[in-house]
Amino acid sequence: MSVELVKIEKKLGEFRLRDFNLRVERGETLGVVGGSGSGKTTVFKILLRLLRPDRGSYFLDGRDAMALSRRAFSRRVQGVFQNASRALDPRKTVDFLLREPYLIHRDLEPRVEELLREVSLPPEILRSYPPQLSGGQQQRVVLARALALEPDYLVADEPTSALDPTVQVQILKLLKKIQARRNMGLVFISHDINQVLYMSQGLLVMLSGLIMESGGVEEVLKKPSPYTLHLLNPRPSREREGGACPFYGLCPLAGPKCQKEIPPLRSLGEGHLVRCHYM
Amino acid sequence: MLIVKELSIKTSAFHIIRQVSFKINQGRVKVLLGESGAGKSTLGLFLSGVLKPGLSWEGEVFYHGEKINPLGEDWRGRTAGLILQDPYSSFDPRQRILSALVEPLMVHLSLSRGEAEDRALYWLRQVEFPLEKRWRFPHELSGGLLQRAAVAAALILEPGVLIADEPTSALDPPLRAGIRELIKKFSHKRHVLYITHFVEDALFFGEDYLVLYGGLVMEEGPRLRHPYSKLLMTSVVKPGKELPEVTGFSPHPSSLPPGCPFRPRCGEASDRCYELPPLKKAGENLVRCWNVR
Ligand SMILES: Nc1ncnc2c1ncn2[C@@H]1O[C@H](COP(=O)(O)OP(=O)(O)OP(=O)(O)O)[C@@H](O)[C@H]1O
Ligand code: SF4
Ligand SMILES: [Mg+2]
Repeated sequence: MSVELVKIEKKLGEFRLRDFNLRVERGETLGVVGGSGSGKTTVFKILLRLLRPDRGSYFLDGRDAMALSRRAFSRRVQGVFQNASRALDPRKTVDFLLREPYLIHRDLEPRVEELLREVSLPPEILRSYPPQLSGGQQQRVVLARALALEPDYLVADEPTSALDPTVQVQILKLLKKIQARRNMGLVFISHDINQVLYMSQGLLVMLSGLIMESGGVEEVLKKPSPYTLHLLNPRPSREREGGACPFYGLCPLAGPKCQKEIPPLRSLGEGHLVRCHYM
Repeated sequence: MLIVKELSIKTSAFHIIRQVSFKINQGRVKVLLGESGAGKSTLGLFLSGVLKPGLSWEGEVFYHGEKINPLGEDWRGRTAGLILQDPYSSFDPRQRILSALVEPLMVHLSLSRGEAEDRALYWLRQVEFPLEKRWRFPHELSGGLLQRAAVAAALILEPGVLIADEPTSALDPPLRAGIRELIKKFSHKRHVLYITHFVEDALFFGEDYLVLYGGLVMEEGPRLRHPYSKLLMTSVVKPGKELPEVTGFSPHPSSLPPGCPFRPRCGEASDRCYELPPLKKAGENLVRCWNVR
């Protein structure tokens, strides 16, 4: 039981997502981390079928995910977007917003009160409109909507980055609890490696449309690649020009090879993959 | 020195900022810390010379001993520079970076084009902006680089006051570190108000804090001692660290709870807290709390 992307390629203007592979089992969380422009949201959109890859395959529990009907797909995979205030129609009440998913899926019994409890919102909130809610409350409504159809997999793109750190803490804990309780597979996407490490068992690090490193969190932390180390310990430093390896500009290990060739993704054992010539 | 005395900013219905007083010494960075809705941007924008429509203000502002009106001429841009959270909103999208820097020099300082360009190039070098990209349009630059250019734009008329409203919130952590180093570098001889909700940023400057909650100053000084400040300090996600129990959320200024506004979320609250505590001396700080001495 897993969601799997295999050898995905996608070109968007100058940006290219290259040889992208990802796998998350039900009951586990995979964290995807990378700076702005690394391709995180492109991966999010592909996983939600909002974007069609140029090449490669998408499997849901071993079957072709692209072949599923829109309706069947939305019962299996749901997304949580970064900007809650834009994801919610400001003219609709919370009650309507939480019932909306059931208008299309009439075979499911609406469970609005249960959803509210699950995301720790008080029942009074049902009569409110999104602009009357705080950022954290709005994000909880977005999460409740995504949970309404009881998906097996959830994909969350920067679900906390528009929120105050105090509220980020609340949302992270909540998401982690719900993922475990519902035994969902979760793809948690963020630019903050610390959040990703808190949430996930597996880690995938991206830069310029390339996977720079992937593996179990423990394996990666034992022997992180130079780019992951940079994310763990950000220091301002001056960038070098050029280079074939996308981290050439700031890499302390960079050598002549990194200038000429993109390093291949190679295995260090135990499922740990790194893209680096000199590690 | 920049002195703000009993500043209130309000709509016709409620106060956004309530009788806020503080000082910024020359060469210092005052870190304004607080959550969404605390009134940080309203205060910061006002001190840089902008008041949103529908708002009014009262109170006093002194700069180098002289009473001034921040909304008056010659304050905004000339005496006070502003850096915004979203670097793309700091620039005209149709103007190239170098032109955006050159124009105010020609308009305000009546420099010739040549002189203005020299001065602009000097500032681009100061913020470590790669000069070969000076002809780009804003959308052709990454957020991190454009924020560097925005720092140059805020400083190019050499203002003595610099307001930075969450200048790192839209950036990822490695870029964040670069921008705050840059602002520290330029704090020398200036009066800097650095607005943030990131505790790492606050601790980086780490010398002089102003903590705002519900439009009220909760504490001011070289330490973070208020129960609210402690909540902010523990709300940091780090490997191997337990996350704190965070209840409730920052209130909207139109519906503040009576008494201490932090009471519904405070782990140290007692019966007295239904009454608003005064801002009083506690060690080196001024603290608004019945239970901090
Ligand atoms: N013109 C206005 N009319 C009514 N309410 C306003 C107005 N301007 C601001 N507010 C309210 O005042 C509060 C403080 O606003 P402000 O933007 O200063 O907060 P902030 O601390 O900068 O928050 P953030 O972290 O979200 O930027 C907010 O709740 C906002 O909705
Ligand atoms: S006054 Fe009371 S409620 Fe307010 S911060 Fe202090 S202890 Fe907490
Ligand atoms: Mg603000």
